[in-house]
Amino acid sequence: MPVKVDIELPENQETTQRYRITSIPAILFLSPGGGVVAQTSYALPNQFIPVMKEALETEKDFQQKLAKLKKKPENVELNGEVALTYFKRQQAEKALPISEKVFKLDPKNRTDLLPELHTQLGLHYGHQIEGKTEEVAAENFQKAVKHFRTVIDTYPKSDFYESAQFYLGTTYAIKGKYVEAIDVLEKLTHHAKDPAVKQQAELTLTQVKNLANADD
Amino acid sequence: MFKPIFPGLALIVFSLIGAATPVHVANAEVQWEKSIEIGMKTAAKTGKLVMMDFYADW
Repeated sequence: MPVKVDIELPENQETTQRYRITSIPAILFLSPGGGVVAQTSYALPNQFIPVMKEALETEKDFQQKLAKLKKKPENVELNGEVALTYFKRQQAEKALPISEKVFKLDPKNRTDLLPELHTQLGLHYGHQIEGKTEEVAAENFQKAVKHFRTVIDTYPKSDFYESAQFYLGTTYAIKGKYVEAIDVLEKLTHHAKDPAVKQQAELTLTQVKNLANADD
Repeated sequence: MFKPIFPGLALIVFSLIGAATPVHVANAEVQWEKSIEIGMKTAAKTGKLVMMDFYADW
């Protein structure tokens, strides 16, 4: 089902924001429920078709996973994978209750999915700070920090350890807590092993420092 | 104000490398739906994916 969305029209603002469209052209493949199955920017026709095929395959696999979960609703791996997929598809409303279930079913992280789930939860709440009322922003800020801290303190050996620190620093910056943001990001620039994280941390640190100076 | 970019995790990235085999593209014009609401409703009825193209007339 092909749909053209003029991002300048007022009636399309909500959708453009929901899917965090920051540059155009942007092409999303959405499930009938509105989940982002795949996305791309402008691509030549012969490059575009593989993306379409992959989107269809991805959706088919996910539907199969959902069918399995229906048969085995207490299966912790399936719950975890489905929750993560919903987060990645920007369908947090579906991911949140399933995440809670995973935390109950797998308190000791036997599945090794908890660090990523906490990171995704942190990102979800981190996105709900800007443009919200003070009360809601404060609450979501607390939740985001809590989830990133859980990854950092409880799962320091996970693949999400450095990302969680980066996102924690970013979350502080969004809330205007520049001192805390600089502290977290500065440490990360020194010890990050992942070069991509290191580079992002350096860039963000410079930005935050400029903002902090402008505020003085 | 700090404009955050949360890169990475939230995105599903598809590699386009190695996908350059020429394919036949049908000449038929795509019938673009301009209403998101109608597009999503039609997709829900048919169970098909939605291809949403975000653009601006700049």
